[in-house]
Amino acid sequence: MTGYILSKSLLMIRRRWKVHLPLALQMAAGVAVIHVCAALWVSAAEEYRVIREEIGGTIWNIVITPEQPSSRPPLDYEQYAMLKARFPEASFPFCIVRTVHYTTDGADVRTGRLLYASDDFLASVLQKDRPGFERGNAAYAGDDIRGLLEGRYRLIFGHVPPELGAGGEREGESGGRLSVLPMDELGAAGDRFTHHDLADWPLDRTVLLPLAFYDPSHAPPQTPENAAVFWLSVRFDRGMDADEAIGTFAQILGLLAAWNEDWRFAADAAGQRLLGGYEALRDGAAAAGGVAALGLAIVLIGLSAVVQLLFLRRRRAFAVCSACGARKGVLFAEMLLEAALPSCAGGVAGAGLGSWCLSAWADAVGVRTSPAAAAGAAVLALAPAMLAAGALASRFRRLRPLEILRGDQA
Amino acid sequence: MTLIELTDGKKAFRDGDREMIVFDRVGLRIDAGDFVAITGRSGSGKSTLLHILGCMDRLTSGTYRFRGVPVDGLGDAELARIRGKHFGFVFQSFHLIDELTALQNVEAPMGYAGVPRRERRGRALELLRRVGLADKAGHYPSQLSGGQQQRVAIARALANGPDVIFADEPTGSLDRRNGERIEELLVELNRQGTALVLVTHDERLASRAHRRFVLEDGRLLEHGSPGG
Ligand SMILES: Nc1ncnc2c1ncn2[C@@H]1O[C@H](COP(=O)(O)OP(=O)(O)OP(=O)(O)O)[C@@H](O)[C@H]1O
Ligand SMILES: [Mg+2]
Repeated sequence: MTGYILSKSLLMIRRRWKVHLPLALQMAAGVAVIHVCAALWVSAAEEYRVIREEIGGTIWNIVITPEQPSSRPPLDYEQYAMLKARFPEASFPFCIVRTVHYTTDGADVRTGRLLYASDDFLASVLQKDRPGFERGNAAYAGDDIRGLLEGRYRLIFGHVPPELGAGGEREGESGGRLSVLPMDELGAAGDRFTHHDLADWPLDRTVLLPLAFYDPSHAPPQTPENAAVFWLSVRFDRGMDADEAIGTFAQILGLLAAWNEDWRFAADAAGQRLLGGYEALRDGAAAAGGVAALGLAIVLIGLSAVVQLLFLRRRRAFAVCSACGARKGVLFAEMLLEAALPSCAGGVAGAGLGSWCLSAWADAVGVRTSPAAAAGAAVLALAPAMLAAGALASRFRRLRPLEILRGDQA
Repeated sequence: MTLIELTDGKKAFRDGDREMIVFDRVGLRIDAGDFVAITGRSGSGKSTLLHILGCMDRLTSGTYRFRGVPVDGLGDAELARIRGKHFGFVFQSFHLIDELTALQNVEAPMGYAGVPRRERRGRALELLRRVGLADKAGHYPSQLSGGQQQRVAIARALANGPDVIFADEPTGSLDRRNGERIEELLVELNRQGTALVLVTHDERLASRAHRRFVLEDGRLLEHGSPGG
């Protein structure tokens, strides 16, 4: 009997191919689109997750460029303190850099850096917790550059503040006294550091000064090279939510711009990329998911409508077959095959088509073929059967062959 | 041999909380090879009774026995099996399946009864030949006249070699000439041994039955018996 049911269903499908073919094609197209979109969505969601985790621990470097010539620094110590107070969830490695050139014997030229650094800079760049350094009286000088401070080497270019001159304890501009200690006493991790556009810089040629000691009026730059450079970064706790971090970062940029209109503040290239990628991925994933869901809805709505129509067309035939000795369960199986077979075939073809497209384009568009999406497509390909079964089950439960035959009587 | 025995049969429908009795205290016995005609006014319950006799419907109360076995305790699947194997139906409006050819229509009851494909084909062709439509085997119902459709329906009713054929106004939708042809076919089938239960308004057709009954005011009365 199974053979008869199958052959009869196929016969019915052949007789009504004009209904079934478009449905199968729609199903194939729908499943293919859904499969591809789902794979896009899964892979975008995965990258999104990675990027979110990255954002938590990222150091956002802010590029500071002058909007117009200015004697004021982009951020003075008071503003810096306000920033810290306002955003306790972030840390702000901040440092003002001045460059000096000096020579040991007149034949070689060495470059040194004076860094007016904040506590956060020490903590995050040099991995050294020195709370209060930024307002304190201690400075650290690397061994090589000490030669300059102590007068053994000659300054060629740049400016050394008087409080550092000739070593030992000196009175600072702010009235405090600065004691210049050997860099070793800071005990920084490693003897080089990398930050902003400076890579692998030796601490040997570095002087670390408290941020509060910086005085712009003290030594106005004569040339662009000896102008102070400002390194400001923002770093959020690793656990911080990515959206919140991005929002806060935007607030910080806004605040900085409001405080000092002579300067422009922007995320550096890496940060921009991260932000851009984050937004693109978030939007891309949402769009792909939306398209997939829409496609699914359209396909299933169409399918359920067709199942209902098919059932209505075949109702009388079922009543007749019931009189001829067909059990309800058998008729149900027959109708299910008839309703779902073409769509399922279309669905399977669509899933295959989707896989093929993904494997063909995967490299080109950077989509990872996802087993989850493929499994989803496979399930989806069988969805017509399940949907039809659901729709038909209730129809068949209420099928009263006798009433149909009576109702049809002339 | 007694095929069907109906005792004290009652059929009623619920209309809200009112019970609408179609017939009551109906008794009827149908033996192998019998030819029974049931007549009565429109709405008297003839079709309802025929459906019960054909196991397509159930009694509200009373007993129905098929070959001595009460069917009240049987499930729908069991009733379907009885219909498929032992009964055949012919309706006033033919009720062929539009998507199937004449041959495929005749094959259907055999398909559900599990008859293998080759045997199905052969028997269906043979039955079509018997009703004089061998040349129309590949035609769809829409390509057949009413009389031809009814003959296909009769062939279909005969598919599984039934004990009884139930026919509800089999000539009701046909003109005189086609009606007579169907009539001859049915009478001939009965002569060959198939029991026939006929519901009809056609006095001439009814008069050919061995036994005649009238449904009147919810009672089934036999012609020629006291009270009939
Ligand atoms: N499912 C049902 N629900 C309610 N009433 C029903 C149902 N089926 C039949 N009836 C009623 O039972 C009565 C008998 O109907 P039935 O079709 O058996 O009459 P009939 O003798 O065959 O009439 P006709 O000669 O016109 O075919 C009618 O009054 C009908 O309305
Ligand atoms: Mg009737």
